[in-house]
Amino acid sequence: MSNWIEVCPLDEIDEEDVIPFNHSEQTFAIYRCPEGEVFATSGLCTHERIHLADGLVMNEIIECPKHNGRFNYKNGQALGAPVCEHLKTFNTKVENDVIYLELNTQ
Amino acid sequence: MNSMLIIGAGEAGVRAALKLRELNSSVPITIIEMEKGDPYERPPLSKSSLTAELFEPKNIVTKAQLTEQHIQFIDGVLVESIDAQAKQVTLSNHKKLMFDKLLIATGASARTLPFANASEEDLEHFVFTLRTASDCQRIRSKVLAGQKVVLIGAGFIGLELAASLQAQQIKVTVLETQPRILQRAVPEAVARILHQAHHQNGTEIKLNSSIENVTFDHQARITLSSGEHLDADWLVVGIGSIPNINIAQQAELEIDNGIKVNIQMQTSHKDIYAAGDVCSFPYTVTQQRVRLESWRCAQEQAEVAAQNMLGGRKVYDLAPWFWSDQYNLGLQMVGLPLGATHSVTRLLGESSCLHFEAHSDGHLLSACGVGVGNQIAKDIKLAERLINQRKTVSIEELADPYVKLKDLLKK
Repeated sequence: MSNWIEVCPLDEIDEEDVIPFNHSEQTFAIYRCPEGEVFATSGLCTHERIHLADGLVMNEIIECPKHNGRFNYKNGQALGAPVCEHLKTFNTKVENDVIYLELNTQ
Repeated sequence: MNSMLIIGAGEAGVRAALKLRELNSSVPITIIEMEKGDPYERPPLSKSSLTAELFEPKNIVTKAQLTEQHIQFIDGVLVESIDAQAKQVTLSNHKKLMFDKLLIATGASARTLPFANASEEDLEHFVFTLRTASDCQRIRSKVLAGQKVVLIGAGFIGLELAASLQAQQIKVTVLETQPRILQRAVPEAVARILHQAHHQNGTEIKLNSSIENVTFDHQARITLSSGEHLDADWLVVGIGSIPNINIAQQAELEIDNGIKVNIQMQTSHKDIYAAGDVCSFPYTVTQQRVRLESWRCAQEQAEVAAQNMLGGRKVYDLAPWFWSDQYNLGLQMVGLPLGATHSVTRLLGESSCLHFEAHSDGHLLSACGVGVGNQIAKDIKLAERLINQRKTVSIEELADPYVKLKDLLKK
């Protein structure tokens, strides 16, 4: 069963940027890529659980604000030391200029 | 078959081993480490490792993971000597190991003071330094709320410790001989914000204070050259470090502050490399030789060394990056201000600023920022790219908080 939750209006995220989003004890990072598409990953870096939303987005890469762990936010892939564990990703959609995130259903 | 030998399982040693394995699935790799146990990250030792309820070092890798990668890990053993000509090392257990390529990643040791009046026992009870997991555990075992502790040196170790101890209801006094904190490390605007945070959190920082004498009884009694006395339950000395160059010196490798390497991380012996806190290297932007203590530098240099040990010709030419956490503030800096002619500060609020240093030709040389949490992280990362891509910038734009660094990068 799909479980879509509303995140925020699309224009709250700059292009090639990221914001944090919290929903019932879970924290996410929501990205808008340079082409305008929206992506979502779990919010915390897999290295030291630092929130990624303070990190830098360049193209399809998010770099952790602390220790430079890099991930491809489109597929969650960890891109080398100090991170080796991939990021969890979530489906997103934009309807009427509002971003929605799909929570994983068990 | 070529064999790769690494001395030291800190950040540099371990990263080099992992990189070697990533690039070559069959070359024999051995790491020798004098401490016992899994290799661990050092930066948390003055931060979360001190304040966490349980002491749990953050492992870089575990022994099991090294075994999985077919990396031989010999811990609790010291390398006593290197025979550079025979390409062989002698260990404290009297074994000898041959190598084709060697990486020295022995790091640095904490500098301390002579404490002329102290017995071995006094030093054991009252005087601490912080460099290793066991140093951290020794300090943890001393911590009791309500104590008075004196930290000698307002460098990063001293100030991070001050914040961590203050959080545990210890009354902390930091002594510094210089007229301000982090005198050589960070620009004044950044230091001022950090100093203010220490003050607000109840840490006393005494500047321009040199120690005349320390005596030990049930407490440590410090006499300053001003004549003032301070009593402390214990002391931590944080006055910098000394590179661990003994075996390199004895092997007659060239030394200049640390083990001298070229931009390929190669020492004066073609088959011996060095990386991390133990080496001094030519900083490619200004050609000045520097020795740095930076977690990420250690990583990046080790990866360059690893590639070259396998016959590559990589160079280390990145802007070094460093961070510190104190209370709720995060500091980050990138690049080195060597040769800077212009400097400018971007004020971002009461407890946040970014400071830039540039060359008169418009090349950005360094950026240092402080702010709540990771507030300045993005800007420092952008500054890092501006430096590494040798972009030219205008001082006016750097000073203007409304100019986005990302736009400067895309110019």
